[in-house]
Amino acid sequence: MTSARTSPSTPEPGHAAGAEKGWIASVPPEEATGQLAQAYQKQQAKLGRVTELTQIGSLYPALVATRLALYEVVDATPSAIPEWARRAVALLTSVLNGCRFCTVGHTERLVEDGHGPLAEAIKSQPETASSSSPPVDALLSYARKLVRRPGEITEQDIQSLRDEGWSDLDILDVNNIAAYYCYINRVATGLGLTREA
Amino acid sequence: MPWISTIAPEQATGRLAEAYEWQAKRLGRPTEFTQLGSLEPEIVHARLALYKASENTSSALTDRQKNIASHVTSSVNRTPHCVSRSRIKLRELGFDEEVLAAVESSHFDGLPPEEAAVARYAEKLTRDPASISAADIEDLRRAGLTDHEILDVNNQVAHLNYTNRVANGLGLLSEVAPDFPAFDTVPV
Repeated sequence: MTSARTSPSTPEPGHAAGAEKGWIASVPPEEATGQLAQAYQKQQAKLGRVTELTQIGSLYPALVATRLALYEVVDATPSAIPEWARRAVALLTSVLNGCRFCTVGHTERLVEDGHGPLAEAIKSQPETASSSSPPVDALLSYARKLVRRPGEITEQDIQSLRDEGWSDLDILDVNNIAAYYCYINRVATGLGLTREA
Repeated sequence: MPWISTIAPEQATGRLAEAYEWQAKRLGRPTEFTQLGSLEPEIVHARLALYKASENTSSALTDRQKNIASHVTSSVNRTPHCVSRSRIKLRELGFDEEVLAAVESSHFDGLPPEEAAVARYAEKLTRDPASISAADIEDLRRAGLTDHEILDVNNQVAHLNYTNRVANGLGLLSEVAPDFPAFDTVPV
C-alpha cells in the first residue's frame, strides 16, 4: 500500500501552482502502485498528465480504474451524434451542475472544433442556449431536463428526439453522456475540486 | 417497457451475453437496468464494473449509511425504480416504515446522527452539487467519517445521480417486486 496524504487541504510547500487537491486525501502519481499506478499510467499516456479528478478517487484504486474505463466508453459510443454536439451536452450538464472544474476541457474542445460561440452561450445562458441545428437543440433540451428535473422526463421527451431523426442508439448515447457528467460533476464539487481546472 | 429498444437475455450474443451472464451468476438474470444499455454492450460492461467497484470499497461506512445515501439520492431525483430497490435493502437492514417514509421526503430527524449526516450530504449534493463546501465535509467528519468513508459516500451519491438518470431518462419507471433480491444485483 502506498501512503496517502493526510492533510490535503493544507497547501504543501512546493506543490504545483494551480493544482487543487480537494478536501480528502489522495495518492499522487509518484506514490501510486499496482492497479492505481496502471490506471494513472493509462491516463498519463492519453493526456500527458493525471488529472486531479482521477486522483481524488485514489483511496480506492478499483474506483479510479472503473471510472476511467466508463469514461472511455462514454467517449467512444458509436452513435450518430457529432463530436461537437456530444461536447455541448457534456458542457451544458457541467454548467447546470455548477461544476466549474469540469467546464474547461469541454470548452477547449468546442473552441478547437469551431464552436466557441456555442460554448460561450452555454456558459452564459445554460437555460436557453441553442445551436444552429434543430436536432442538436433537441439533444440540449433533453439534457437540460434530465439534469435539472430527472423525475419529469416523459416518453414525449424521447419522441421529440426521434422527431429530429435521432435513433435509439443516439438516445442511449445522449442519456449516457448527461447522466455520466451528473456523476462526475458531483465527484468534483462534492470533494472540493471547485476551481476551473 | 422502457422507451428505447433493448436486447432480451435470450437474444443476447457475444460481449452483451458475457455481461448479462456476469450479473446472472449471482442474480440468475441481468436486471432491467442492465438491459437498458444493451444497444452498446461496452456501456453495459463498464457500468457493471463501476457498480461492482462502488459496492466493494471496503470503507467503514455501514450498510445502513451506504443505502441511506442511495435512498435519499433516488428519492430526491424521483426515481421510482431505484427507490424501490433501496427501500427493500433498508427494510432488511431494520428501518421501519415511518422512518423510511420520512427519509423519502428528506426528513432525517428520525435517524441516528451518523446516518443523518450522510443523508444531509446526499440531499445537498444531489439537489445542488455546487453548494457543497468544506463545512459539509466537516459535518461528515464530526459524524465519525474518515477520508475513506467520505470518498465512499460521495461516490455512492454521485453514482446514483448517474443511474437515476439512466432509469428515468430511458423510461425504466417500474418498481421492483417486494421480494426482489436487491442485495444480489452486484456482480461478483
